[in-house]
Amino acid sequence: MGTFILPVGPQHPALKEPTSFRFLVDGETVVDADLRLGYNHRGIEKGAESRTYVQNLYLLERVCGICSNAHMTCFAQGVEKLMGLEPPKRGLFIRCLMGELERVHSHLLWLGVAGHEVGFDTFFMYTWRDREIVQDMLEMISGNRVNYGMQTFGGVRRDLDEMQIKKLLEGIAALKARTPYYLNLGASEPTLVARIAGVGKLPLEKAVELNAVGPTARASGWKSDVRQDDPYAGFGEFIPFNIVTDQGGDVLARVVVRAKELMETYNICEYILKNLPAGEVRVKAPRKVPEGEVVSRVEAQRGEDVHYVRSNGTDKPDRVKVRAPTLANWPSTLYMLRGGYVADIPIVMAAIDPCLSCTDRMAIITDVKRGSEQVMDWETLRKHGIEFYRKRGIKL
Amino acid sequence: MTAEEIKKILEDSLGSKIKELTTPAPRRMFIWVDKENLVEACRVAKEKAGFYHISTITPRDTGDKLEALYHLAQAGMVLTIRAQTDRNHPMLPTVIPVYGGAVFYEREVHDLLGIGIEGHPDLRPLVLPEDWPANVFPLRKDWQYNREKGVIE
Repeated sequence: MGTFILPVGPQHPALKEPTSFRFLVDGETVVDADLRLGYNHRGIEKGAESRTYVQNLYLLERVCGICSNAHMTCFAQGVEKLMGLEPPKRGLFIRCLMGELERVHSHLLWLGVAGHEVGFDTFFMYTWRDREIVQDMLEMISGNRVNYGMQTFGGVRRDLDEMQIKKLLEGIAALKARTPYYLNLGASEPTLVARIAGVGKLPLEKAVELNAVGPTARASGWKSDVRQDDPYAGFGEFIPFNIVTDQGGDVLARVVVRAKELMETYNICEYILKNLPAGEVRVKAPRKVPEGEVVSRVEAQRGEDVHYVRSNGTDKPDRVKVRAPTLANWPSTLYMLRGGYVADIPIVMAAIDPCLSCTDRMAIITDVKRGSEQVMDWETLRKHGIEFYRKRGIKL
Repeated sequence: MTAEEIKKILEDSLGSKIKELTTPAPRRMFIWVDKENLVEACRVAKEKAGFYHISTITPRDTGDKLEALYHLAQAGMVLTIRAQTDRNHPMLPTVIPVYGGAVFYEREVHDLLGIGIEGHPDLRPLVLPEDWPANVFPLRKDWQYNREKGVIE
């Protein structure tokens, strides 16, 4: 039997983001895989050259919906080095906290997606229910569920008060109680294990050779983590943590690594909240940046995120380069797909956790006196808001 | 490996091929080589100095030249190798034989700045659309985007 080319994408190849694949298939086996990117290319690097540093902070936050804080942190700490700023310790702790909470929501999201891709939608419902806990925590700190806008040059933009710390600790405790169940389920539920064990194999030497990053590399037994290799924002120095690895190198190992990483992340969050130093959260930053160049790295939830910034003495950068972790993992993904089955394509692709977005939401308004619930869409909520303030004599 | 040890290995192996070596910050090192020595510098960095990982390649328009920065990493150090090429016939050798993960980064360099990659197996566009005009490279400084006028002003 001859081989066929199976086109997948760019619309919805298992994911909610556009990527186009061409699979050369022989029956049910994938012989070769090819990839076409760029459907989401927005020219952010070029755009950054004509914007000021402060504008770029928010532009680069929008590189990715899920890793928004990682990109913002990476750019902010790079520019801080060029400016010669030392953020205060409390600012660094809150910066780490945001990064870790973002990791929690991303990993819980991923566990759900992984469950969904293998037809285990109960798992998806469970993890996404718990993800709401951390989303509420992030909203309480920053006012937003995505794109928190927390980092700035010289520290963070919002402080935490005692009440918030108490609520955050409660949220962490709730998640800490529930996550071991998912780890147990992911690692030992027979039907799930049968579906994901041995799928999408990436041996250690291939992971290193193809420069895989993040949980994908760690699930092949490679102990690399930017928080340890190139410590930033207080990691290693003030904030202790452990790196989770697994020797499996398959999708099962990636589930286990992410679930164990969740437990580790809860510990980091608890440590930060219990040992939060007193003082200011930021220092004042200059508008212009002296000439220089910097390579900044952050361990985003999907792996190493790299920014290169070159300044020319003005208030606008000369060059900004962004490399998000997903691009680094595509060569490994193509390797994993070769020799696998067509039916395994969605889960193998999803296993590196390529970017997804989650901005749609609605608000449920409960009338406390009458106990009735009402679902408002965005337009009604907007009208309600305008009416609310107009009644109180505020002109809009 | 400490910064001093890495510096010694690079200087011993590459000698005068390094045009400039700077350490502007802790855990950061920049070296500048001619493009003819780029692959050798990468090989030395990987095989002798322990830089197992290529983080990315940053292409840049310096005005009169085009330059590419190869960001290599290991635990505790990021080495950036700088190589420049002529603006008229921009060409750099491929580093895929040394760093297998560079395949997409080099395609991006070729797409956005129009630097040819000698020896790259597959230089189809990666991020630009198929109908993008030839010899137009958006990340060069002389390229400006003029937004089309909207129908409704």
